[in-house]
Amino acid sequence: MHIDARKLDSNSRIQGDICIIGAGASGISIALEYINTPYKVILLEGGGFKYDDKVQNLYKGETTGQKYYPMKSSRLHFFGGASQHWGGMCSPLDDIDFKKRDWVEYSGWPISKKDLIPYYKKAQINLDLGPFEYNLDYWQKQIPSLTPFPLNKNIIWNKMWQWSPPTQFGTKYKDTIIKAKNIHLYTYANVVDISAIENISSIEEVTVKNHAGKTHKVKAKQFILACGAIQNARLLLASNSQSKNGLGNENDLVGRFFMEHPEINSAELWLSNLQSVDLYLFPEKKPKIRAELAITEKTQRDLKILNGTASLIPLREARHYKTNMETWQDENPIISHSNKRSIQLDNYWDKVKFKVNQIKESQEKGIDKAYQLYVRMEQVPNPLSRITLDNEKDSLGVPRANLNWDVTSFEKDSIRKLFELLGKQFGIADIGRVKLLEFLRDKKDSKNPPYSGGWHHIGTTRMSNDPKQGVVDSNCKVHGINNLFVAGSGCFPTSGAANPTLTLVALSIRLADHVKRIT
Amino acid sequence: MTSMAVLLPFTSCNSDSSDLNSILTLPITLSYILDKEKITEIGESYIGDLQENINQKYLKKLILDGYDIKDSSNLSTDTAPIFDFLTQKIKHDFDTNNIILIDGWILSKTEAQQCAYYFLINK
Repeated sequence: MHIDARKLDSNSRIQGDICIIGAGASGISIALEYINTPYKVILLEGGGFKYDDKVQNLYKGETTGQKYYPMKSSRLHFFGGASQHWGGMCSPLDDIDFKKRDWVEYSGWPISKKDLIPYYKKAQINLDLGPFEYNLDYWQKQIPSLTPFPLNKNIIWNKMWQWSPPTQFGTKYKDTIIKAKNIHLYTYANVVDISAIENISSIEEVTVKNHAGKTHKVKAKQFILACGAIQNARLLLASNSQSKNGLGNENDLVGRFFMEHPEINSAELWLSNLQSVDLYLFPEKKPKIRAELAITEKTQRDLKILNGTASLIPLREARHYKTNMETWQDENPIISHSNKRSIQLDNYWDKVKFKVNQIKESQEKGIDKAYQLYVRMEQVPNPLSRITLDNEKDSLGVPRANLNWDVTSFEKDSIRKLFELLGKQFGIADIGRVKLLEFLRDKKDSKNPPYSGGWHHIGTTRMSNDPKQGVVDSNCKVHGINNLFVAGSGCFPTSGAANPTLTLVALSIRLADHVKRIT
Repeated sequence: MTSMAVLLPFTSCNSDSSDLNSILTLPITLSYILDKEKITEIGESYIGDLQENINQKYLKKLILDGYDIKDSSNLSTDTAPIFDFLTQKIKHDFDTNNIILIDGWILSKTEAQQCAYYFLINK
């Protein structure tokens, strides 16, 4: 059922078994697991069913460090959350992403990839994907024309992606959630404070407010924060009336280790002969799948680099694209995401010059076999990259969240080594040559280039069984608080090279299972 | 063995060049990717980056280093074995990290030397 919290009498008391705070991909996935169960689930969404700029403004904040997107526009504050504007790219994390790596400080998850497999399979369904198959061998049987580059498989492998339509959770699951008798969806129910019992060992209630001036209290046996990595950290830090550093923050970890995926055009691949690269290009037809060139675990160990992948874009097209970081800069997320990446020409003489360049390019030798290599690199876990609270409060009285996106030189070094390795392997295979872009050519130059990111917010309430290393344990329960859980990519201790949506949905479904068992 | 005539995407503009020079100045894979001007630029950059004076004779020696000249009187005309040798040498360069970065290009040292030889011959 659905209730608009603006229409309730103020100071209403709402009670349930499970309270899920946030109705994006994570929160909705958890709620779906409870349909037709005996549990009464309260699902709180701060916005409504459509974009509302006044509500979206609650997400405003400042960014420092590496240039990032506006805080207001990199998430969506209405039912469905960021799933209402994502690209659909899905791939699971790799085995190495879960392992402790002695060359990557703070690496290692308290669970393995194997623990997540049953949940990845369920997540595939939520995301309208095909079977949980991410091996090239499987897809070659479905589409025999898919031909990988003849590179050394012990060094370079083909990591597969599947495309969700993209599933917009708010659109797809609205009716399902509203019709579910035991799911009580409250819109315009922004959580502004989380209150614990006196010794802070469990959560008693959360306070909810909206712009209609209404305030309500929600009590439950279990509370699950599912607002996204930035907002989850913000709420924990801002709930500081009983503990001055906020909830779950005895070891000053909440908000730290914010990770994105540094992404950037890094090199060019020029093939010597025409060959099929369909496997690597953006898929136009179903099944929508694609491979990116990835580095094997052993090679990452040998070179002591982070995990990253390279994708291909025909160079002729790529030369005329702007980067995401240039394009997605409007504070209004609807405008930001609809901004075109292709270079727009308004001036007549610019159009003439563009046409002349196009003709010259078409005569450029080998251009029809040339590809831009675009990297998506893991970000090393870094405690200086973090969410903090501003002194300024939003219109509901919650301190705003600021982001310091701190990117080290390890990422750039890993990118350089990845492409040097590709250059070497393409040379050995004798099918082409790789040309590094300028920013990678000088090994002594550690200055960060203008990375884009994928609107991937990861790591702010990281997982570890040691409370000195993580905010949540292996079941995503906040250390020291027996009924408070965090869902989503904020719990990832490392980011891997894959887009986070598939994994965060899988982790959320796993969390739902766990909370069911203990409630 | 593929005919050399098929594999020559361009020839030196020096009308007196022998078949040998054509092979020596033709980094095979690279010549399918880059035009003459870019090959020349790479060659010029390679020479510019070296701290020593390079001449054609020295480059020819470097490029053919490791080639077993059994009958030198046939060197100028019997170029098929040289072609095979250079193809393998370039692959071996990549295998053994005998690689160089020129203007961003990740190249075998042998093919960089070939570009340099091309630059000097056509200078």
